[in-house]
Amino acid sequence: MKTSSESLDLQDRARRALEDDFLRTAVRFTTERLKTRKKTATEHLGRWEDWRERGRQIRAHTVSHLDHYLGQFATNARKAGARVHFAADAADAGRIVLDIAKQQAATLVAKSKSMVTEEIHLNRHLEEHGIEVVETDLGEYIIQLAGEAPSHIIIPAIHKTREQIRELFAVDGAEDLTTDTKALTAYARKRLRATFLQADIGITGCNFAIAESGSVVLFTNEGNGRMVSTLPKTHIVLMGMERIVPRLADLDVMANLLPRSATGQKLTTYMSIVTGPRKPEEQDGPDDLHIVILDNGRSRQLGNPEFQEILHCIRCGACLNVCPVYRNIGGHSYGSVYPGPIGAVLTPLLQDGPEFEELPYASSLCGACHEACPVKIPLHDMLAALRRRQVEKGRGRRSERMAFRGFQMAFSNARRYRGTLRLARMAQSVFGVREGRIDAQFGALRGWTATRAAPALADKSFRERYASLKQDVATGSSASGTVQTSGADGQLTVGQTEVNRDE
Amino acid sequence: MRVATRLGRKQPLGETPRRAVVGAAGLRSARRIFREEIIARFCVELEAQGGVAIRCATTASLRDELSRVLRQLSPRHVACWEDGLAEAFQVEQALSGYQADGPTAVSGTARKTWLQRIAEADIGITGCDYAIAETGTVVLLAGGQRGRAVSLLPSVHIVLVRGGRIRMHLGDVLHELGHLPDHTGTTLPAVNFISGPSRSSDIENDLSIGVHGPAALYALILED
Repeated sequence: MKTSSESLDLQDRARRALEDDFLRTAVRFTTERLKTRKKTATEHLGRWEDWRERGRQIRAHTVSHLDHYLGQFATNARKAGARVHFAADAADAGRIVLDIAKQQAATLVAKSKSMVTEEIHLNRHLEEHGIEVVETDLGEYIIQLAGEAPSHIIIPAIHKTREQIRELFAVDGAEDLTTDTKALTAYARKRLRATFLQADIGITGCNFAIAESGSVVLFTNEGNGRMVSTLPKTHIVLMGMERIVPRLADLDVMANLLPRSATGQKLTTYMSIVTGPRKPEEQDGPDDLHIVILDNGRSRQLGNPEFQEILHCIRCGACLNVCPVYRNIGGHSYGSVYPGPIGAVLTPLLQDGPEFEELPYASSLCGACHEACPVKIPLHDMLAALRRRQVEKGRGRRSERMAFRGFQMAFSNARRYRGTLRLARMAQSVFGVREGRIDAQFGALRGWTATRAAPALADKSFRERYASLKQDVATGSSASGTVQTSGADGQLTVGQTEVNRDE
Repeated sequence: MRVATRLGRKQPLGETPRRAVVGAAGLRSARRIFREEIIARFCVELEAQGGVAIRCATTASLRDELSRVLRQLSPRHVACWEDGLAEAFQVEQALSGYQADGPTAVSGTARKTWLQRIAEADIGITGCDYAIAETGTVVLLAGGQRGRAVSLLPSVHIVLVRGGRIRMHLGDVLHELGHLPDHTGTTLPAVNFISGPSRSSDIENDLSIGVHGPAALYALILED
């Protein structure tokens, strides 16, 4: 699950992204726009919190009974004429798809956008075996030409300027192209139209699969999803094993949550429900439909009370748009296929190994992702739990462990705490206090104060002032005179704040 | 089996588990909605997606409107569902002169030729089985002589809608799809929900219309 900038570590990638002004502006602009649109779309629907809660219930019910619904889905999909394959991991899925391609003697594959195929690096695998794979989503086509990975789940080429896109299209064969959106789009339409009509196989992902009917549901805006699932002779669906909802009626809830959260649309331009291959009397549609159901680390989260809920995710990208870290560093800094808060949790869960252990630290634990999530996944709790897992494995820094041991010692005993405070007050003068703020030029605190101000310790701590404060409140006066009793009801007014007296 | 074990069961759960609520039950107001409101809402929402909604009181006015749109667009040729759609809406005359001859066959090489013919059409005309007012959506069920490509490959899609087939919410349509009389016990047909023309914002967030699918969508709504 690595992308092109793998030689650098997270810190370096983030630093590089922060120095890229276009990237920062583009990411900020896009995420802000998606956020605003989502707000409008959810207000328009009304009772958004109730819809979210229902979405959570449906996902929780499905995932905790996934054994049943997965079986039901596979049975019904087969009944409808689809071939269903189970893939334990990326290698397995790659082998299954390659076998199908070889059977069809396929040379050209047209793909619509799918994060699961990114996850298993399907394109690379097929290309290594001499099969040409063309991404047909406009954004995906652009980054395929650039040899890059998507930097946003919903808008993959968020980081490309129109001039860069024009250059990529020129290398691809476009002549006399301007940087006008219309001209660029027209080129892609013409270029990819030929691909749709010639491709031997169409590959799509799957937004939802419906257990009761054995259907696969695709949400797209450009129409390329419809093209690749309609025109080629063979249609292969790659789906994560958790994509299922029990009934058609449940799609009603998901179809209201997903587009509104992803792009702020009431519904995407196209929503296609595909059930089995073409019927004999039909003029078009694929002759063969294969559905590859991928595990790749997902089933490991089942039964784990801390992480099972990560399988509720519907891949809308709303958590990216609100994340203060993503909004500043963009998707590529994460170095994983899934960026943002969802990526920082999902990646180390799906994949063992040291290269993604730092991802849970690319977060401020502010919880904005949880609030934005249409199915209420507690991503910030999971990020903290993943960090804890690191510490339990002994992966933390030695200095950090020592610091926390010291912290525990100083703060677990009142006398030691008082002593520590007095000591710290003396020590802070060494770091230099300017206008009431610590401005450390060296030492352990520098990492903290380099980018923000740390308030200095007060001359007298709250605990030390408490005894006299209590007396002031009880007698209805204070040194500064801001505390007044407001009468017989016993309420005190402190400035603007009302305080209930608790005796 | 691995999944069941993880969930603490020896065997995969056989019976469908019970749950308190299914779908969006209770989330929408149950007030009665009249047809006029539904048609009006459908038109507003479709136009908000960049589509064009044209209300027609009678089949005669629908025929006139279709002729007008065709004159305006002056296509070289037009592809149309061959399931009796033109006859049902009495628009054969409006279409005469635009439609190219070609195979309607469904097998082998004939299918390639058929697809090529649809790809070369400037306009695709289809019916729809349902429409959704809340989202400005038309809902097309695939079937014999109702090619999926007709609503997809030409740069303009014209859809003929019966006012009585418009529902307020997506949920209403999904409910009916689950109880299709023709499909009891058999497989659901391929269903396409279409809300306006094809769109993309992949180039610097700049909206562009018609990137792969049709660049224009006209809905002619027969009210009676």
